[in-house]
Amino acid sequence: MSKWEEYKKKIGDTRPWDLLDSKNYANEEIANSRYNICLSCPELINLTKQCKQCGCFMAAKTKLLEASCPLGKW
Amino acid sequence: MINFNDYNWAFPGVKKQKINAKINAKALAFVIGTEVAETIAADEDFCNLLIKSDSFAESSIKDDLVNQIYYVDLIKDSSVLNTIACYEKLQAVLLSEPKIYDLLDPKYKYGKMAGPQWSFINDQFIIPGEYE
Repeated sequence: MSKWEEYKKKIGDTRPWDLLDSKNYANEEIANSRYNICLSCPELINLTKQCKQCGCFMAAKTKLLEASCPLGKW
Repeated sequence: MINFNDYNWAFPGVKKQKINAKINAKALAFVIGTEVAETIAADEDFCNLLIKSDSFAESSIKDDLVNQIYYVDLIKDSSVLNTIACYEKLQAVLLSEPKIYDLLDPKYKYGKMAGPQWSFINDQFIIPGEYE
């Protein structure tokens, strides 16, 4: 797999503007359980709550139903 | 070591400063397969350096994941011409053997509008989908 394919796989198919439509949201239970996994992950930048792998703000990304962890943790 | 941010025109206010300093720019597209993976507008000298490189390679300098700085070696005649510090996407693109095109070349009908996720087919930039 090329670096470009790896990069695309890592950032996934969801995008920040998906947050504008509540139809894209996971339920609160799923979002919370995902975010708890992020909070205990060494790849999370604690200051900004961004993932070092994908660069996303995980408090927001975990809310998107179709989003996935770049490390496959959720 | 070259810091891409010093040459990148895509920051607010930078364009005016560069023009006042009589620095010329080029706009480049990096195409992987038929996909326009990334486009940049940067100082002409910087773009020419990318164009004249034979290839790009992972640098011996370790990526700075906390500050999101990624490194790529520019290779010419099997030796390292220089090293670029850039963002992750540009690193991923450069390390994937992209073809580099000058977006301002008048032979590309829609070059000035092209951006990431466009296609490059039959030597032209096109919006993927109904225009193919």
